[in-house]
Amino acid sequence: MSKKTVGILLVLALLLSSLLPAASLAEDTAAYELSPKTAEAVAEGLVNLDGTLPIITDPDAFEAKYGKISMLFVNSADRTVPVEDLVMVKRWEEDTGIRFDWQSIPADGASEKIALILASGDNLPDVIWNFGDGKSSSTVITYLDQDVFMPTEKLIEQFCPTLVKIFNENPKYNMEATAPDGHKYGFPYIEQMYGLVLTPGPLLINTVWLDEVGMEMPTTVDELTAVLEAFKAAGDLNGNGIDDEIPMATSFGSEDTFGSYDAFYRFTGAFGCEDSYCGGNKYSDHLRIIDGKVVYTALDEAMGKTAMYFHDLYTKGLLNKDCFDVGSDSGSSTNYRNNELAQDTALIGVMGCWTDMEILNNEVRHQYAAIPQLTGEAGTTGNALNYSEMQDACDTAITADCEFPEVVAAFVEYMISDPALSIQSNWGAVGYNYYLADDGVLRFNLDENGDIIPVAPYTSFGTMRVNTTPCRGSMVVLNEYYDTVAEYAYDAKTLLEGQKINGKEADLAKYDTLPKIMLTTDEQAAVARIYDPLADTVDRYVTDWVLNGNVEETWDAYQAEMQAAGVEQLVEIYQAAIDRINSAE
Amino acid sequence: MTGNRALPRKTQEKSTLMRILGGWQLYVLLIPALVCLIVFAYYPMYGLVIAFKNFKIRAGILASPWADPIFKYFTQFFSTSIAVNAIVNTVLLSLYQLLFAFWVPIVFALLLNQVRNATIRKTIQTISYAPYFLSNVVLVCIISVLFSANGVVNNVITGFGGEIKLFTSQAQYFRPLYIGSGIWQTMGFNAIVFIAALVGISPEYYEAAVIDGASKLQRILRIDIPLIMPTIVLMFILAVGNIMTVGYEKAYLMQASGNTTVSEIISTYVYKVGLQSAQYSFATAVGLFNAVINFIILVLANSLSRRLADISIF
Amino acid sequence: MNSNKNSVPGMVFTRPTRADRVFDIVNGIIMALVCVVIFYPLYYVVLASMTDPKIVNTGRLLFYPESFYTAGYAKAMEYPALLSGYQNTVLYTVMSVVFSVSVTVPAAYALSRIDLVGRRVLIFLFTFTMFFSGGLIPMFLTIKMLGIYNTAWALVLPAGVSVYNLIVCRSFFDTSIPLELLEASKLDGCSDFGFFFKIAIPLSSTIIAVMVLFYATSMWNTFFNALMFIQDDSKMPLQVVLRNLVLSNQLSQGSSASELAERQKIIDQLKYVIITLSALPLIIVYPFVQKYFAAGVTIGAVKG
Repeated sequence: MSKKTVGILLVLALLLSSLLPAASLAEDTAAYELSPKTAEAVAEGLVNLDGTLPIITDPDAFEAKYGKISMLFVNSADRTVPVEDLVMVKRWEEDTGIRFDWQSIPADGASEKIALILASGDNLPDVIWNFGDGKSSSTVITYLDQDVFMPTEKLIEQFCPTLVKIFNENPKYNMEATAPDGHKYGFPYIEQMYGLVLTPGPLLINTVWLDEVGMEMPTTVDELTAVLEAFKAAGDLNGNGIDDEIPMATSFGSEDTFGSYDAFYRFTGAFGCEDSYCGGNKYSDHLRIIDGKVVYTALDEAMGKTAMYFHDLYTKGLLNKDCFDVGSDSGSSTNYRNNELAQDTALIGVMGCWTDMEILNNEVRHQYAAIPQLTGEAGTTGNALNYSEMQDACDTAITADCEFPEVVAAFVEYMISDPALSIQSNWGAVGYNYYLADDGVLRFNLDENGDIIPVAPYTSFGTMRVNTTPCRGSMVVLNEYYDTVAEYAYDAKTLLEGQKINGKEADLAKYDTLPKIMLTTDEQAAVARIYDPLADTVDRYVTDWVLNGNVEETWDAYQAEMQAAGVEQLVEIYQAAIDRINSAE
Repeated sequence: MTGNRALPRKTQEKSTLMRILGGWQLYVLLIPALVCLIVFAYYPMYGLVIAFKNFKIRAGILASPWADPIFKYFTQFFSTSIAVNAIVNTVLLSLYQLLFAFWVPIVFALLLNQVRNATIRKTIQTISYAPYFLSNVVLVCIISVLFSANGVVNNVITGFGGEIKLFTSQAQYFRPLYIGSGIWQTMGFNAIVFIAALVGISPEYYEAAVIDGASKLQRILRIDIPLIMPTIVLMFILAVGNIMTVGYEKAYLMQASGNTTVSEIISTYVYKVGLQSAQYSFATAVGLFNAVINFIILVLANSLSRRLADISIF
Repeated sequence: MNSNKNSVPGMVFTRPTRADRVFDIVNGIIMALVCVVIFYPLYYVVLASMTDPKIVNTGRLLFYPESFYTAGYAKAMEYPALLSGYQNTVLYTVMSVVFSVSVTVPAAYALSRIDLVGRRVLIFLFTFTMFFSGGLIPMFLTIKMLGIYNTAWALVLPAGVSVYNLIVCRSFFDTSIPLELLEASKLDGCSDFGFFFKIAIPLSSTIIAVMVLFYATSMWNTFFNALMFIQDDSKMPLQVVLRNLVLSNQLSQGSSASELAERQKIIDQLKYVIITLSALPLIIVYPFVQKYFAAGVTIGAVKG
């Protein structure tokens, strides 16, 4: 078709759609057909789908006739209140009249349990609230052609105008939420925080120590080395008489969600093509889009040069001794995060961390400031992560057995269309995590140290959060809500500022990260098979290089091993997915 | 275990049917175990066929379509760069374990048996048995506390002026640490079987030996070892038949970037693959491959042992 | 109770030879070393479960609780599910031991009789299942089909017969019940049942004790099967509860610094606490089981 024809058709379509009355949807059968049971319930007046509340007008009668809509829920271990008794859950019930039958399973072994439930052949739960953090899209893909989940794009179009608007304004989310078969499944969980999770936590330096050695804030990587050497030579910087000062702390191979503790990858940008690495989206590590092409950036010579830089630091004794010891889980005592940061004196000169609240002692914490971008021979430090603020694309997934998908869609719209409700559903209820200030904004009740004052019987923000709301489901928090509807997360403020000083904006602008796209079932299975050997090889060579400085001798072997392990196949798979998405737009 | 004892003449003369009917009580003793076996082991065995099918979870195992080609998942495994390395690592780890860890509980049992004071003996036994209850997570936690770069052992080494050894992150320490901690954990428990065997040795043998002037060492070598040899051989056959079965948990927890060349074994690889997308066919295919190899080795070891020493499982 | 095999009643006491004394000394040293090597890490764990984590995390050698810190235990005791976890595990363990031992021991005896027709075939059938298993999904479907999902039986029955234990048990019957004994009792008109219940079992207190120990240990440590085959939280066994205890204290997002401080301290200590809590009962019980490791009295029976 010629562009002119397309244009005319588009205008006609727009005109026609604007003429359609936004009236009772039950009569609009030309656009959308209700599922049989829903149609029946609407006809009897039990269900109300015109966008107002309540959605189920007579919960008792509905329950008597159809039973409850079952909701499978992956519980977290720190929740002590049963799901159906959570404050927010009760509020949802009151507002919408929908009584879900919550079936909770522990987070341990949740994916096996879900597989067993699917395999057992009898009735699937109607809806699955969540799958474990970030796992919704990969689970949906695993079962894509097996008649497990119900497509939701038509439901969204019909019953979730707020979501339609969000997708229109954020085409990236739309792309990430669409499966290769063109359908959407479930509903998104979006937590915008001004791009907080899109780069690692800040790289910090101890300003008190800097003053004591009489040096300026470093601006290049070589100046940083000089500062570290000065830290080491200065002796007892923290004044406790013990030789326990660590100039720089890092944790090679750390798998934390936002890649904050492994300093290696931050520096790759200073030596060439920057690489990225984060535990939160493991299967896209070391990948970038450069000029429309997917590139495996860990093959770039920047890796070798960065390794030599760290080798230099390591042999000079400027790194922490246990930098190669990665704990088997995040609670290990061998990681500097759980050990040195918990002490009452400053032990580390330069390090990365997520929120500086992890430096537990208040005085020590105030000694640290973020380092601005350092320049190296070929660029600047800092990198962006292959993460998305739409942390889950397919939560509140409707299964094929659900008889009231429209009711669920209307429920999602109810949650998303009310910003204050979304905020509380995400972070905790009013009266616990928030209080409603006079200006109508939800605010935190903080003490003089900036810590939250918990409400009994809970002792922390985290426990209040999980015990008042199920968290992570299909809810949306947008940037525009901050300071209009609610305060920005109190412990993320310094984090965000630190990131900005590190050069967050510049990093995000450098290259395109790989979006969190959904692959086909076969592609996903293939990636799962070759991904870990590749990542392990990278880690192994980096460790070897940092320890022994033998980049030149082993570079060819590295490249050859990566080829043998299938790096090209990986790139091809992602390239095909990107091309597919681009051509669909 | 077949013994080399002749059947009394009377039983040999009866026909097979008569012998079956005559021994009906023995079959009754067997029935509960057989039922358990059939219901919980043989009946679910049809699940092995997943390895050859393109498993569709809602359709169920039997109704899923066959994989195309039928050995698809096997070829997928073997075509990865990691397959050969993982198999080698698995086999080596098991062999080293046999070499270094198998005889330790035996020696321990023999030595313990010579401790005269009964209370001390029981105390030692109880202590030795305790580590068995630690789960793998806990064991690796202890290993990292003791052997990490800042850990107890390295502190002792630097105290003596040595250099830090990266026990937990370098490849050359992985196997010693894995097997050593395994010995530490299971020596006491595995010795129980041998201790119980030693308990059954009649004191008459010792009487006679003491009269003949045999020393303790000689009594161990001439009496204890030969008399528990059937148990030893049996345990050995069972151990050999588990060569391909190295569980994923401990190796996975002990993996670090520096040691994946030796710590990536078959089970850790399959586990990691399954983390991203549930691949039951793939995992079952690999498991089936392992089981077949194990079984072949067991049958070989069994018949070898039967021929050489008349000790076998079947 | 092991009788002291090195002094036989009625024998003239002879001085231990020099070779024996050397042996005893060497043996003593080895045993002492073994005890230290095994005991110290366990002792360290118990210490760490009540010492201030800041000290523990420095990786120093500990010999006594340098700074008492029982918050870990307090946290564990407060955990509501702990008691039910213990109760459930005790129940499951007792059930498992009773069921499995009463199924395994008779079968092992039967398989030890060389006059059993089809013996080799049967043993082969048992051994085969040690290697080939259908996997999680068929087992789950079987359990569902039998209607035992979310009950204690879902844990006890699938593990009902461990072929490994069966083989070990059978080998004991092979070696410790002499054929002459069987022949003699048959001459006296004893049936197979009679021989089994009246003679074989009393002679086998050791192996039965071993079987009890093996099955009890296995059921006490059961974790994954419980996760898969049990639905209600109230029925979860100890290992699952303890793991939840550790998980529930993991650092969650949005925690304040002072709360993080507390959690940091507790998180590693909790791991030590749960080891102590889960292993200690079995270690305490073990000496009682040890009593049954008695020497067989076969010789007297035959000679008479």
